[in-house]
Amino acid sequence: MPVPEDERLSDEPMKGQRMKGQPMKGQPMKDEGIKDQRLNADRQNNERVVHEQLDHGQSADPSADHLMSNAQPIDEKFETHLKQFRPVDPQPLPVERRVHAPQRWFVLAAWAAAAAAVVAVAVLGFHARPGRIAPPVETFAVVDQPVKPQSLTIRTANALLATAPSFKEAIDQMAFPPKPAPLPADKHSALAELSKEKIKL
Amino acid sequence: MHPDRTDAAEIESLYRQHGAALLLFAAAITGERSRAQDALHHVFLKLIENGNLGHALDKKAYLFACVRNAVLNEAKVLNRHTPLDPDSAVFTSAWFTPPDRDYAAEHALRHALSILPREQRLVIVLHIWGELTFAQIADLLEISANTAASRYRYALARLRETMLPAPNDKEDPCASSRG
Repeated sequence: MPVPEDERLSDEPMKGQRMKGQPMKGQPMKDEGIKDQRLNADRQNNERVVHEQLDHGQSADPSADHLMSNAQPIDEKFETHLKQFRPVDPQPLPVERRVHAPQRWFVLAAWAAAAAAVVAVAVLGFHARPGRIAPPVETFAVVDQPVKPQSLTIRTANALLATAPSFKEAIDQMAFPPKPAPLPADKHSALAELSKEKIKL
Repeated sequence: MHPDRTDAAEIESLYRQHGAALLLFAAAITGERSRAQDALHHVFLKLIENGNLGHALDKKAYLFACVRNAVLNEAKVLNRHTPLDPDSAVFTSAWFTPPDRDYAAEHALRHALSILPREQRLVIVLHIWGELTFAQIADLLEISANTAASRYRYALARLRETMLPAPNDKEDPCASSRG
């Protein structure tokens, strides 16, 4: 249903509205001239009151419009009745979600840090297992035993520094790891035997 | 920072304070709550982005003017207004929280508002739920204060006629408050 346009100007009385001196609906008008005069007087009085309020900087209270009207107390109560209906609140502004964004980043960062800590602990635990510990440092100190070449790690470096008689010797051992001990005289290495073999083509 | 620039927190505070009345006002123009909501968000997001509310002497009246302009601009683009039809689908969502959960009264109020002339509907929404004075309404709607007061008077009488049954038919809801 389209909204009916308000064709009447505000100065015109509304259809069906009963004003002072106006008969009830359906009742015949006794004296049209007297009624018009009263309506005009009421209208002028109402507008004068509103003007006075506006000139004094007050809000134009609608009750002022009804000073001459019999319906004044009813309309005030009706206004109060209408004000009991509270307009439904709008949806929250989208920007409010943006305001809380830093908090979400903080939570994400905290979760990432916690995950990184768990991974770090797991890796350290894996390397600290007994079976994975590097051979003891004595291997390097015992010259008689065959020494397997090992890669230099922080752990072996620390062990060398702790056990070596001097700093220089520790550095030398790191730079020049001890060579494997020579084989006994009655044993030969496969590589030496192969090198002696003469292949006739 | 510009001295007239309003920070986002203050604008959000104004949104919480006047948002419901502004939404009702926008819905009274558009007849469609979702479009009214969009216009309201558009206005406030732009205000937060620009922060140019500081120059407004009367911030509440300025907000109502902004919402009205946003709705009218959008209507120009769409070149249409949804008629306020109580039976149409867009008008089924509640506009008010009724006292004592009297949803029948809420529906009656919506129906009464929908059949008001648009000019009267805007004035009554602005004065009762927007709590604007007639001088503010006059500035906003570019009419005289007398016209605003007159429209209000007519709208109130018509709402009363529509919402409240004749005294002989049913008990007047206002009767209890009359004492």
